[in-house]
Amino acid sequence: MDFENSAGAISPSAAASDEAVDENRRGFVKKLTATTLALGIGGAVAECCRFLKPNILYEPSRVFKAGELSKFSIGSRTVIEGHGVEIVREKDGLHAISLVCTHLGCLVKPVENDSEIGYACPCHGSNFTPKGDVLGGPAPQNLPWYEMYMDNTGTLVVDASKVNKKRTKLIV
Amino acid sequence: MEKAVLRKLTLLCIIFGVAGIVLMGIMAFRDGKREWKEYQTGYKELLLKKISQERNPAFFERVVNMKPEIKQVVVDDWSAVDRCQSCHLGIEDPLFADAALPFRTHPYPELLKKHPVEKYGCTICHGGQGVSTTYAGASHKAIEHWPAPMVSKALMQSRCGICHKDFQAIGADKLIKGRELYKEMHCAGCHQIDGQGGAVGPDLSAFGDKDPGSFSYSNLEGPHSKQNWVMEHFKSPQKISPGSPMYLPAMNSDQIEYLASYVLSLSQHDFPRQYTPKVKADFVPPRIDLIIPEIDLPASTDNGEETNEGASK
Repeated sequence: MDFENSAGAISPSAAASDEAVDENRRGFVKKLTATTLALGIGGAVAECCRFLKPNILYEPSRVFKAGELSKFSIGSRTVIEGHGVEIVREKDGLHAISLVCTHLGCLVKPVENDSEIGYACPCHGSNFTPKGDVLGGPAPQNLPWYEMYMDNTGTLVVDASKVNKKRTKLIV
Repeated sequence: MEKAVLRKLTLLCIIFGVAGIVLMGIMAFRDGKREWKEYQTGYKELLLKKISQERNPAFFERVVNMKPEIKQVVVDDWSAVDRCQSCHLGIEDPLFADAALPFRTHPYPELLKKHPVEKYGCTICHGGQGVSTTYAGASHKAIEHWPAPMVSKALMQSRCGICHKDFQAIGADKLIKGRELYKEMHCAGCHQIDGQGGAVGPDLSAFGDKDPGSFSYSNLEGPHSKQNWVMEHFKSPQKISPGSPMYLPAMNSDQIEYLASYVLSLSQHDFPRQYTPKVKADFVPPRIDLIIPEIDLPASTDNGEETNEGASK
């Protein structure tokens, strides 16, 4: 609109150059409109997608303290009640293994004093080695290891939201 | 004419388009910039200075990769969602004993050891609005529409008494003194607690559980909170609740604190067994409505005369 007003103020002698100027302006206005549309629609879509991913859910944190290191002696296997995780401490380090059967989610039972079977599922008879690999039964996957670290107060913290795929042990 | 209308419409479109984009920009900016995010970056910097990579590489790496996120404790047993640790990040960490707020370690680590934050959350003892992630919203001070602000230091023991009924065992001196005052002033003459006492005034057995919204704050000066209501009510019952027949001898501010702590600790909330404090086998809750023969009443002192007058009114 402002463009047209200003164009009207130009004297008729300048009419020939007016066409070219108008083209430029049209190009500019087109670009501006396209940018505005892209920004508007893109931004709206981005915010909608952002909305689908909540900042946080009303559920207990998957990062939890398992207890002080001194609680876990070398060679011990300790089930952390309420979290479905077992902390295994061996000479070469510690690891946290999930006790949730990969078949239908029952809690597997740690088997003591057996060199082959480490965990047995009471529901459908899946067996796992002490490292968590499937030996038999309907379980489709190995028991995952969770990431674990020791904080500066000497407390072991398990992060069950991250699977330790490389199965590295925590050396303390 | 048509052209003029078109021009107006175009102008309106442009104005609203620009306004929409600006608003969206503001929203994206405000959504990304939160109080707790700044605290978390500050905490990360502080923590990285305090720990070394050589001593605990796994932890160091984790801190380096730490991204701002809301930290919360969910306790289903009393439906608490406490996000206090989104800012109070060093609450359990002895390294932060001298740090500035909000990172400072809890002043009573031995209490925190018995009540781990992971299991109890914060608001069960401290009050306030746990789900909030801003200073004002968490009700550090009294705010509108949240009549259960954080409990002041003076009344802190009232929260201990909600679970711990054996005041001697936990050494809650204010609660013990408050209960003594309750007995001395014969509050049980009118009020009932757990079936002991008269039926003139309201039953106080679950006074601590009473909805703060059910109090009348119209005559209350100062913050509109249940704690403040109780303190002011003990200073002058008739001022806060006009027409109330309640009589109280004058008390000093310490005594008001003791009595307020005691009545605010009266709760009938049942906690699951894992949260219920162990009570000694021989623990018997002391009686609060001791009946004293009239001859023994201290009639000679000023206080005694006032009590008699109050009773006869």
